[in-house]
Amino acid sequence: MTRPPSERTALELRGAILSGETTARAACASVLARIEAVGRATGAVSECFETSALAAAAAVDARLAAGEAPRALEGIPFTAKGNIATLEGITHAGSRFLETHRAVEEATAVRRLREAGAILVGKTHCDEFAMGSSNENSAFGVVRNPWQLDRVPGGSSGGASVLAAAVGGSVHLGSDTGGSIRQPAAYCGVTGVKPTYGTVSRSGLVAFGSSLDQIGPIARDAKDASAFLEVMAGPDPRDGTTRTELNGDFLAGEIPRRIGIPRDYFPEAIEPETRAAVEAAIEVLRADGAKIVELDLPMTAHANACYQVVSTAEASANLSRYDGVHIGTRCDHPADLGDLLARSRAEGFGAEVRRRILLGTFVLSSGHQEAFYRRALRVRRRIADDFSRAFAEVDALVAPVSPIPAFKIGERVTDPLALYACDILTVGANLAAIPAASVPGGFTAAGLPIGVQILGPWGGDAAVLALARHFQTLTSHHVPFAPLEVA
Amino acid sequence: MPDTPPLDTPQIGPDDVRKIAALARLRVAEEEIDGLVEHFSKMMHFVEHLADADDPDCEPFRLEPRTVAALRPDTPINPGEPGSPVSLEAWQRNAPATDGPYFTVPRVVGSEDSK
Repeated sequence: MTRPPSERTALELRGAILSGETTARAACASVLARIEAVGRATGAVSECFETSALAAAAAVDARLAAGEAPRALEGIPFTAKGNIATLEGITHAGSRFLETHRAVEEATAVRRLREAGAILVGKTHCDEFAMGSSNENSAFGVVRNPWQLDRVPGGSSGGASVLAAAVGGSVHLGSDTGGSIRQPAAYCGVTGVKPTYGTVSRSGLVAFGSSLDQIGPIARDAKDASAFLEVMAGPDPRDGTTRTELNGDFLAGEIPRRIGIPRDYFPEAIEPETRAAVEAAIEVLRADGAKIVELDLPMTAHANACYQVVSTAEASANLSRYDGVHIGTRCDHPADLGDLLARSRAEGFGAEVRRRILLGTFVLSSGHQEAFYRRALRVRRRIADDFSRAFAEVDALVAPVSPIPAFKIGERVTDPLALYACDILTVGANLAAIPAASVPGGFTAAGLPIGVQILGPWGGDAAVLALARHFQTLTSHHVPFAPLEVA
Repeated sequence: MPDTPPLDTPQIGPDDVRKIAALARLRVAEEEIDGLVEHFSKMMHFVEHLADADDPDCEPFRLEPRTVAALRPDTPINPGEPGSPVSLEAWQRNAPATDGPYFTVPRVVGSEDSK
């Protein structure tokens, strides 16, 4: 091959395998070696599955040699975030509580990818139970940004985003509850897509906020992301909230031409280079003939508070299953059942997870539910209505992903609220259940990636993907790899 | 003017944190209480402006009717197929303590707690 597999896109690698330029096994071995090396340098990787991956790759070669029709993702290596159930390895979701947890069933998304010829090669680190925006809240250590190793990669899908930035020829699954695909994708300069709620089955995803969670791809470019989403999407009898019909063509949808710019997504506090990069992206689209319309999403200022109430309430309910009885690690010498539950959970969960469980329990508790949880659900309706009004006028919205680029490791750990502030521009899409992507929009003068967010109406995944792909035909911000020298 | 929470913002004290922790089945050490009181106070301040955005006449957000929980076809799933029943052995492998087909816990009946 003129370029090694790990310096191509995933679809280019598939093409090289199908043309006989390389074999699936050789490509897989090459990509795995790069993933392991990047993992050692950044802490992004929790496990690699070399034996099973190379066997699966050899099976792909045997299929092709036998003349079978190539499948959509034939021979493409992929990883799953640590909170996505896989039959191989440990599904610990970044938590000490689950450090030996072997999933009993595989996530539907992972199974569909395998059935389409993709090869699971490993699992990536993330914030504990996907709660965090910096990948510093993991029981297994921090993950480092491959562009500048003293900076965070974003979170919670930090490991997946790092691999997408530094390893080609592969795609990396993340999950997004309040921005956990888009924000790390922005901080690492890669393409990440959070689908419309219900597009990808949540079966096998460790639940955080069940009305917000979605699995999605983090990739070198929007074409790779589209190919993976196309395979993962669709109704699943194992998740009753999956959409029964998907609108449009994920691989060749119509490119949105009426683009809305939500003024409320450009707060004064936004870092100037981030603002400039997103404005430049808007000018690229305008010059290409798109109609640019400024509009308001007045409830944006309330989205983060709404998200904190709704997500912690759902988390407190979802995490009640971790009891040290059926699942998880158990404290030593419990005095009685109550002590066993309370102490196992306290010892198993990290500080941020404990804080969110407590807040969620409070907002659902007798006497406070109306003032907090019910109120947040009404505000959530108004946030969703804001978006509905906007999408009556335009086909897509373009905005920043995060008010700032990747910050230094440790800079925000002592102030959870400062960390939550990074989510202000991403939580809205989860609350409104709409699709949104982060695409690379250039770099700061100091060389840090900046993300551009594309949001679409409910069910408008095909439009978001089409605009992301189109933007990448007009720009080349997505092309450079993170300049990570690894042994 | 100092930041004074509006009247309906609850003031969270150490006993409230202990009560919430008990409800959450989460042991909180005494030395953590002050930090959690401070965190709760900040979070109450952070979310209190939801009141400004509230419209009591507004219907709470629901994923339905746009996403309707779907029933799956009432057809049997054979062992080994996706969605087939998982063996007890598989479920038990992530449990910290088992005895035959049971998950075990400290004695409840006959313990001090049960009296």
